[in-house]
Amino acid sequence: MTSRCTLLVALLLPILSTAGAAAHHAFSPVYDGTRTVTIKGTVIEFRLVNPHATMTIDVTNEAGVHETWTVELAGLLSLSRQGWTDNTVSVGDQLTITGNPTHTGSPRIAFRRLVLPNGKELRDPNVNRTDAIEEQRRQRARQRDQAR
Amino acid sequence: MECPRPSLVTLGAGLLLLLLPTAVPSSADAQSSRPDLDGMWSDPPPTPVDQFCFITCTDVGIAHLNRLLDDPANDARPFRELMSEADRYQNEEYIRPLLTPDTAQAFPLDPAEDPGLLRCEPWGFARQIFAPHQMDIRQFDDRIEIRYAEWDARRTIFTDGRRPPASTTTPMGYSVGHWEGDTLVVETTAVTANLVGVFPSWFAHSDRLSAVERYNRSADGSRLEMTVTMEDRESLRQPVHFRKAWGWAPEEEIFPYVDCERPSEVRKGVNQP
Repeated sequence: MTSRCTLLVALLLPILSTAGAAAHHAFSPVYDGTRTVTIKGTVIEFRLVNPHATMTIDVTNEAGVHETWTVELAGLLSLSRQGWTDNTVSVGDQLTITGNPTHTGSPRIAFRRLVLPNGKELRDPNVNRTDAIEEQRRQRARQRDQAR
Repeated sequence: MECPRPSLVTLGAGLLLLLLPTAVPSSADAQSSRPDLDGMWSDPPPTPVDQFCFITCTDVGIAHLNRLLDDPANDARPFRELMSEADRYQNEEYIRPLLTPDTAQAFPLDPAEDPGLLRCEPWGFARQIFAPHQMDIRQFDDRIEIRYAEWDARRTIFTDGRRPPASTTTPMGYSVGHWEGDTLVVETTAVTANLVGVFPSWFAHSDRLSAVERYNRSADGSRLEMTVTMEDRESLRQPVHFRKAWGWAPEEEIFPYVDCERPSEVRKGVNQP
């Protein structure tokens, strides 16, 4: 599938999902956690629901053909904790969204981060947890080194 | 000598005095000594160990994770790598040796076989008690009711002294509870054959599964810890022990589960966490 998406064949990044944090099922049977894809498009629908919120995005590919992409996000209960509401994303918004592609290359990604029209970046709730943990690890390493 | 006739008030007071010694200790005193678990609990604040135990974990897994974290050679490795390594160690060094040969052969199950993913089938008891996110506890005189955010599942733990009836199994089983000091002890049986745990440390259990959960609230009230021991002669050679924790989260709420989407594509054999 040719689309206006940037395929970033990335190594496993620390921003990717952490075990167990992905709500009600494992992520790996559907999505490839070793790669990320970035799409740019217009929001057709945003559903902030459990178990997983979804966005439908109209993406125009390099041939000028419209494709409909689905973005699977964390659930309402995780996103609301990060301040997400039904109005966080609106129909018609132009978004740049990065996520993990499916194994089959279908037009679907697991959400990692997005950039709103005003430039503000929103990230998957799991990314924020991971950042907090990495900071604690750095502190733990400093304390360990100082104790020597 | 003639005794004066007691008034109704005197008789009533006497009756109360007779009743109080038996009524008060069995309810008010005992109740007041029990920790209050009532209210909303949720994912604990992120720490390395609690993230590892986000669904559930074992003492063996925690010890190995701490060894990895304390090794300077691992400082530059992403946390998820260390967590995956601790998961593998936990699976191979602790859980697998406890499994019967048939269960061990299929352990750990492929995440692509998850009935919750494939068929939107709600979790059974031995998965649900490890569900992440909110858990709302309501304590009553004769029972405790728990509502889990994941799958919007509910269960009742009877605390009125009854014993489990010899009845048919159900996905959430039959739970009775009692207090041992500050610990809520819950015994569950009559669970329909299903799965224990959640990826990546999960295996199939039979309807002979029995479980003992123990819940303790921390002294400052901010944390609820659970340990659970499971036995099942068909899947386990010896009891297996898991643990999990929640943080006090009175500001959180449970939202309905409205739209479980069945995936149109899954790939087997991909064991990324």
